[in-house]
Amino acid sequence: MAPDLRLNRALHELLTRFKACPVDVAELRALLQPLPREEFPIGASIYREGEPSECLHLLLDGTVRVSAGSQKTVLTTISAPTVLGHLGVLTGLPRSASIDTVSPAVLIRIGQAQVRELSAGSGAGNQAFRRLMLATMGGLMSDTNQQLQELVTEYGESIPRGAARLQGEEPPRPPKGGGRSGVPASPGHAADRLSSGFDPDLLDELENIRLVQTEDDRRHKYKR
Amino acid sequence: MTSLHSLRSLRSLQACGDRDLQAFIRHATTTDFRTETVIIAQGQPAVGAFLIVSGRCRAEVQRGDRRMVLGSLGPGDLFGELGLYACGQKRTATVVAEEDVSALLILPDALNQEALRPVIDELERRAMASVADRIRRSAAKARRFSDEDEDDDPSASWVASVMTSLRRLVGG
Repeated sequence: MAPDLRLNRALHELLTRFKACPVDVAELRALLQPLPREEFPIGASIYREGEPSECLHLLLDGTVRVSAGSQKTVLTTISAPTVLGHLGVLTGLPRSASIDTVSPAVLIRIGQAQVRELSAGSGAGNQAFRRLMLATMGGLMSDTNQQLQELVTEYGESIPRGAARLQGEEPPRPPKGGGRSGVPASPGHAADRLSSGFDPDLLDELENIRLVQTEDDRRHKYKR
Repeated sequence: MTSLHSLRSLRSLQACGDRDLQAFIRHATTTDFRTETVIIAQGQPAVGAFLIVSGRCRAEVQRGDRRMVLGSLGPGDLFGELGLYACGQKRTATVVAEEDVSALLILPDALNQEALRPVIDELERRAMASVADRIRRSAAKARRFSDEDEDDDPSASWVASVMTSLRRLVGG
């Protein structure tokens, strides 16, 4: 089978973007090349939020839009090459967002069982697949950590709950039944909303995500 | 030097044969840390990962002059692994030896040593599962949060920013 240059270019670009360690691209390409291609016209739905995550896709050509929620809030647009839907497949969670095409798109579909096979095998192509996934997840985490770090820096002075946690004090939970904070939202005063009782669980999560790289947090507990 | 016996006892390497473990011992650098030694420091460039052979460590984060303990790591746990696969990152937490610790330092060059393949393959499989598990739990919290926030005031732009960050992480 002649090498698919588009797939080759996509893999090289992805591995370069995520500064992945060296992998055998030719072997990885040989594993992925026979997998089914899917072509979508403009405006087609690739994933719908809430659906089971049955596959991931490698976007070879085109641009897609990621949206979520009942308002279909657009979160981002992504152009090829990129990996789509891998976290849903690896975690077994339903799709957390919808993805639609904003230009004609060409993708390689990798079903759940194939993902398992590709991840488990011992060949050079399997190793390359694992490393592509790890590098992609690491890159995503790194980007997200950076964004969250910026948010925490920007709003850090207004996060008494987070500050209290860091100092080892448990902040009081907001009262139930009066909205999430018990205090009406103040339009235009985001920091006020935060200090008036933002969900402490999200603050846990902000910290966890910033730190997710170093721990096996099944065992983790906050020091109180 | 780390003994074969101590590696055999690690759950994360139980699928590996003695020959593979011996090759791994020869290549990886055994590093010993006394109690309260900082093994990796938040903000430093991420070079290599550590596999704990014996002893316990704690992961913590510093913000300004405040410190938060995240939890504890023990024998068989790998930390700093994403630094091997997505290079150029900085350590996002500090790991400190809670007691005398012996660990194997795995540097990026180990990833392409043929003799180490069985052990590295096993560690990579486990790393995938472990990273996916962390994200799964993060995603669950993010989803709960964002579901509750659907009808919130759009002027709270920081909420939107947080949601975007989290959803990008868990996206698709």
